[in-house]
Amino acid sequence: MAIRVEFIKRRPGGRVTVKPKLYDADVLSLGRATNCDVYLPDLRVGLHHARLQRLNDNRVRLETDEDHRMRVNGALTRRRDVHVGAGADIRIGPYQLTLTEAETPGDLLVTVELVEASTAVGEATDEHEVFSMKGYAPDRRVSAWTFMTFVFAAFLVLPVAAYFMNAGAGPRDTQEPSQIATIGNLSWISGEMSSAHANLVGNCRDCHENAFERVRDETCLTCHDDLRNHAHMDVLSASRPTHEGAGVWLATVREGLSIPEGRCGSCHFEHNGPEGVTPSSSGFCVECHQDMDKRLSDTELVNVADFPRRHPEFKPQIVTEPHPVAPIFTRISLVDRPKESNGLIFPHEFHLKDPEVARKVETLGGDAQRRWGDELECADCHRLDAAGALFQPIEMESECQDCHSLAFAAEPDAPVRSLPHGEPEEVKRVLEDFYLAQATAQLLGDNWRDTLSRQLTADDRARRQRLRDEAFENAQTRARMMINRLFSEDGACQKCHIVKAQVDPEEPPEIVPVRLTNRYLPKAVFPHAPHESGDLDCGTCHRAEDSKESSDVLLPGRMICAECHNDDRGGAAIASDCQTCHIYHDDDAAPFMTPAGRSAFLLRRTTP
Amino acid sequence: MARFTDKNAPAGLPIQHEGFLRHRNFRWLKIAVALSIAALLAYLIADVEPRPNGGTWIGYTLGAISAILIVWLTLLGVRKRSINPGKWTLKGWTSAHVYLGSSLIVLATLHTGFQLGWNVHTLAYALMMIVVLSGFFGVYYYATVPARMSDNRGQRSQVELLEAIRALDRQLRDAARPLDDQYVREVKRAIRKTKIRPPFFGSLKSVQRSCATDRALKRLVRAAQTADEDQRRAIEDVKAILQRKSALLLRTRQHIRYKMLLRLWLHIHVPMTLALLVALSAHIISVFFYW
Repeated sequence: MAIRVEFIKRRPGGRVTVKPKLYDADVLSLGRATNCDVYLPDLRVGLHHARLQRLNDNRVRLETDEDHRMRVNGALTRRRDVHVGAGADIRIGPYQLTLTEAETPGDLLVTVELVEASTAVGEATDEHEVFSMKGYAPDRRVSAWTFMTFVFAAFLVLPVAAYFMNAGAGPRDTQEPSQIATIGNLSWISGEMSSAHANLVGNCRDCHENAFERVRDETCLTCHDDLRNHAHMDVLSASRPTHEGAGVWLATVREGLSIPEGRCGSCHFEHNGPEGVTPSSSGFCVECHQDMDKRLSDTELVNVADFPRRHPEFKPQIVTEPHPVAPIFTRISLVDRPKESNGLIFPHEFHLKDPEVARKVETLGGDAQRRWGDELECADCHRLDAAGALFQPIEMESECQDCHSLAFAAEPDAPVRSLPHGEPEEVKRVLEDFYLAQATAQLLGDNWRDTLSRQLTADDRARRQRLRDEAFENAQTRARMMINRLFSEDGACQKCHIVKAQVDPEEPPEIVPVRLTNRYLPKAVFPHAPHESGDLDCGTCHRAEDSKESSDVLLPGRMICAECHNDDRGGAAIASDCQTCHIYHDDDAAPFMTPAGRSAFLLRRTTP
Repeated sequence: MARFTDKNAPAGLPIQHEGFLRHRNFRWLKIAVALSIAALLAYLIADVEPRPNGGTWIGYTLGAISAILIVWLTLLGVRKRSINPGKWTLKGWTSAHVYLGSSLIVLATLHTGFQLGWNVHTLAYALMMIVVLSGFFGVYYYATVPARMSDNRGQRSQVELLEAIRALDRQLRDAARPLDDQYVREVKRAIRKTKIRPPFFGSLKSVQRSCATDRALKRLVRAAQTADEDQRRAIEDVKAILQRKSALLLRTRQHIRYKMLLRLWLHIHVPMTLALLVALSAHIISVFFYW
């Protein structure tokens, strides 16, 4: 009745050693503790892991302690009774135990074999596993391919596809590109569009009609078809300077790339923000204009390089021969102290400073006095036009007539009549009619029905005839006298007008026509409204208070402008580039805008 | 610092190492600074219409130089894989890579004319900046980490570190046998559940604190105070082993962190470089496509 325990060890090469131990007891303890009968030295085995107890000849009880379990014939258990004849496979930790009947009848055989690595130590850890970046960062190759594919698809394939999706578009094309094409196009846009072209932003092909080809002038002209050129093409190319230094290289490159000079795109650069398209520096202009006389021998233009220093004095357009239909304008430089012959007599100094004018204004009363105030100011007569650029024309009726009245009456209490302005013939007829009517009324008296001629004697009739003749003659004389007085030196007309010497005494004298200049500088634009700022008033530039004659040209000289418009002043300077005053595409209104639109544009450009 | 080519240096004396940063007395630094200053001056002097941008003559020039530089800088990846040293040493090449790459910050920024937007052009610029800045991290870590790394690792190789940990595990396994089951459980966990690799974030101190080895150690330190005489000796043995293992783990983890520093920037630098090459191509194509 013994228990035989065999410790089996398999050596490399297949040799098996068996270490038997015989126990003459009914109970065996199995565990990691050194005092156990069956010593199982592994950490997976409990200190006193299990007990094997013979219940009788045929039965054995296997039982673990509270904290452990074992596997008996594959089933996990704490306690199991086993029939010796049937045997049992027991697994405790890495140890495999078999329980069978021993050769000696009645004895029990327990074999113990380590079938798993006795170690709880992990397998040799792979160096690369431990020290690699795996788990810390995505694989370089994978992320590289991912990013490359994304950039390629979104930023190369899509925009090129958008090009083909928008085939046949043009600047006038109103069809919106699809949303996906717009996204593709926008991903390639090189800068914000100008506000003028903001509607073209979604479709590159509106302007860039063909791939790998510069924007053609024809495309620009699709919309800007009323554009005028600066000068004749031959003159333009003749005035352009020859290339020097790096310019030669650039010109060669340009030629190589078939980018001719003088294209729309040579001066107008899109994709530079809302203000971008119109060049804002003088560089383009100065390139030709600074020494133009060298290349254009017959030009009348003076060389210009810079407004404050190298720019000719203003050469205003002066009326030298006023004519109601075709006045003669001559451009005379301010250096030559031009005198205007505009046909008007108007001393600015008198109107602005003389107390007599103020007294006159005081007598006006009513609305008129409210309009003119205590004394006259520039703005009383000179009123800005709607765009704030130039002034509304001066009209006799609205600006002069409140004081320079053309009304007259027979007697102080009689109804007032007004002489027509600007029509001497008409004035003559009105006055004749007036005096004739007066004579007729006198002749008829109060009882003209009772004095029919047939009731009169011959003497009376003769007397009446004589009186009548005298009365009409008198009326004509008085009319003529009045006309003469009116047009005379002391008359109302000559206060403002120049009256020519009378040729035919029957006809009213001829008046020199008045032609006021509204725009003195036809090649430049000067918006007045933005200049009404700070301490500036009219007198800052226009010496009207000292002007005794209307022939004085009150346009300020260039140096007055240059006091502010001087780039040399540094930070506080106000623009003094060519485009501040001049427009390249020479015309009365900017080529691509309505006049009002252009004035607004100029206002915006010049307002700080 | 002495030049490597000091032929008169007595044999056997240690020759001071000349790193890629001070290669040939900072030759490439000087070249890169000169290039940047020249570009800056050209940018300031050039009076371009209507405003500085990539489409002016100076813009095209700076862009072309930058593009060529980017392609050449990328070729370091090819050069370092080729065994044949060629005319230029890999060190010289790396030195040029670092300094010329840095000069791109100036060149490409001037090329943009400070005109940025949500488009392929700015994408290429942004990718380039990411690449260059990640490269700065690389340079910084390459300059500072290796010394600390070898101090930390001592003379041991990576494999030796891992082997030492395993050896300590084996010692633990044997030393823990006499312990009570409750402690054995801790030791078993210390052997099996100890994760050598620290997580990406978090300080190594906190990693150590939550490590199975340290927990077992703490448990045994407490146990040693109350255990009876028999157990105490075994516990002290196991404790000592655990302490050694914990120290070794700290070094190994520190080593992994250092390695991470040396490599992580490359995981940005390299993929972004390749994405940059595609973005750069798209940028150049787009400019001439819609000319």
